[in-house]
Amino acid sequence: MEGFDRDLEDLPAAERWPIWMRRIEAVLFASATPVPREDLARVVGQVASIDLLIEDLSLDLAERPYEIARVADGWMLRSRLAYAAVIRAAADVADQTVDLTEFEGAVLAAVAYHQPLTRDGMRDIFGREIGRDLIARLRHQGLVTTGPRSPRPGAPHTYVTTARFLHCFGLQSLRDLPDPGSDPEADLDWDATGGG
Amino acid sequence: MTHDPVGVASSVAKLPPWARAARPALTAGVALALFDQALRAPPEALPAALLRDRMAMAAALATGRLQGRRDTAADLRDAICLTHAGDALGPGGEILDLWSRAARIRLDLSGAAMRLARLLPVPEGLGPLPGRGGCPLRVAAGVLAADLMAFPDQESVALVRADAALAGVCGWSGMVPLIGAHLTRRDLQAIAEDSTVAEEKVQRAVTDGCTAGLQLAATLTRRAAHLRAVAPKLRMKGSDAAVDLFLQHDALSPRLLRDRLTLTDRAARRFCDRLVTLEAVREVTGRATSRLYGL
Repeated sequence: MEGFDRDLEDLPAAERWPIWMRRIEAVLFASATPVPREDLARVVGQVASIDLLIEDLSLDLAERPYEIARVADGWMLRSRLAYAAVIRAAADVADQTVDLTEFEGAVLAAVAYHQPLTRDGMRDIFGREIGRDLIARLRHQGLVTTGPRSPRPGAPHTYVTTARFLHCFGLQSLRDLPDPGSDPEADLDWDATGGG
Repeated sequence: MTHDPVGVASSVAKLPPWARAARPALTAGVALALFDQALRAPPEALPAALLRDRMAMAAALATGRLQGRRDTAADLRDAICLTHAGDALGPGGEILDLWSRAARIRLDLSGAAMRLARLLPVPEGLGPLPGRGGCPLRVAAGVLAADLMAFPDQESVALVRADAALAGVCGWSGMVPLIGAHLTRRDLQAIAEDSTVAEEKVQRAVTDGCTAGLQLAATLTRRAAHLRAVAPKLRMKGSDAAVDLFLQHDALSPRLLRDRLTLTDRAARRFCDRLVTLEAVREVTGRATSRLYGL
C-alpha cells in the first residue's frame, strides 16, 4: 500500500490510538467474514497491540447495536444478540406484510429500544446518516410513526414504534423486547404474521 | 371561614407526630383526612386541577419505573408538550397522558366509569368500580389486588383504578394520583404473592401520597394567589384564559397558548416571558429553544 502511513509516527501517541481503532473498525465493517489478526496488523502500527485496540473499540461500540465477536483467530462485527433476534425476524419473515432488509431491521430495532429517537440519534447509534427514504419505508409499513418533536433547534421529529410493530413481532408491549445482554435462549414468538 | 388563601397556605397541614408514630392504618387515616380537607379548599384558593396534574406526573414516573423505563420528569413533560397534533406521544408520554386524563375525569358526573375505562389499555373485562361506602383504603386495596391478579402485566390499570376507587369512596370530584405514585415493584410483587398485604401497602402509599399532596397543595395555593394577583398587569386579550390554563396544567408551551388563545407565536412567547418577569410562572426546561412554562 503505497503512501499508507501505518505507524503514524508524526502524531503523538494519544492521537494515533483512536486512528488505529477506527481503521480496525473500518476493516471489520467492510468484511463479511472474520478478519484474521495478520490482516488487522497491517493497518496499525508495529508497536500497537491488536488485542488492546479491539478491547477499546469494543467499549466504544457499547451503545451501538453491533459488537466485535472473536471467531477463531480473527474478529468480525456482529449484531448484538437482542437486536439480532429482531433483525433476523425481520429478514426471515416470509409474510408480505413485513418486508425489511437486515439494515432496515437494525434501524427498526434501534427505534424500538431508544424511542423516541431522532435521525440524529440514529446517526449517533449507527455512526452514519440514516436516509429519510429508509425511515419512510418503515413508516409506510406501519412499523414506526412520528413522535414528539425533539427540543433541539429546528424541533425535528422523533420516531416511535407502533402497535402494529408489536403485533408483527409477537410482543405484548415494549417490555417484551429482549433485554440486550440477557439470556440468548430467551423465548420469543417470532410468528410475525402481521395482519394487524 | 374567612377566605385568605395565602394565610391558609402558610400553615401547611402536617401530620401530627403522634399520628406518625401510630399504627399504619391510623396514620393513613389521619393523612387522608387532612388531605381530604385540603382538597375541599375553595377553587379561588387551591388550583385543584393543577394539583392533580402535578401528582399525575409523579404517578407517571413511578409507573414508568415499574415498567423498567428511565424517563425523567423533563422527558415526560417534553413528550406531552412537544407532540404536535396527529403525532404519537411515545411510550413515556402515553403513561403521563393516561394519568393526566384519568385525573381530569369528573367522577361525580355520569359516564365517569366508561370514560375511565376508555383510557385504559384493557377497556374490556374490568369490574365495576365500587361507589361510596366502606373504608376507602380497604376498598382501594381490594380493587388493586383484584386488578393486579386479572391483568398482571398492566400495572397502570390496577393503579389508576385503585386511585379512582379511593376517590370515589371519599366523594372527591376527581381522582388524585396517590397510590400510583408510591408503590414499588417489590410492593406489587408482594401483593401478587399474597393479596392480603395489599391493604398495608395501600395504607403506606396513601400516607406518603397525602403527605406530599398536602405540601404541594400549600405551594400551589401560594403560587396561584400570586399569579392571580399579577394577572391584571398582563393587559393582553385572553390573559384570563391563559391564567386558567396555567392553573390546570403542569407545564405549557407557547405553541399551546398560541393555538388556544389565537395569538401569534411571538405574542405567546412574550406573554410567557412577561409572566416569568413577574415571577408568576417559571421556565422549567432551562433551554433556549422549546421552552416550557409552569406555575
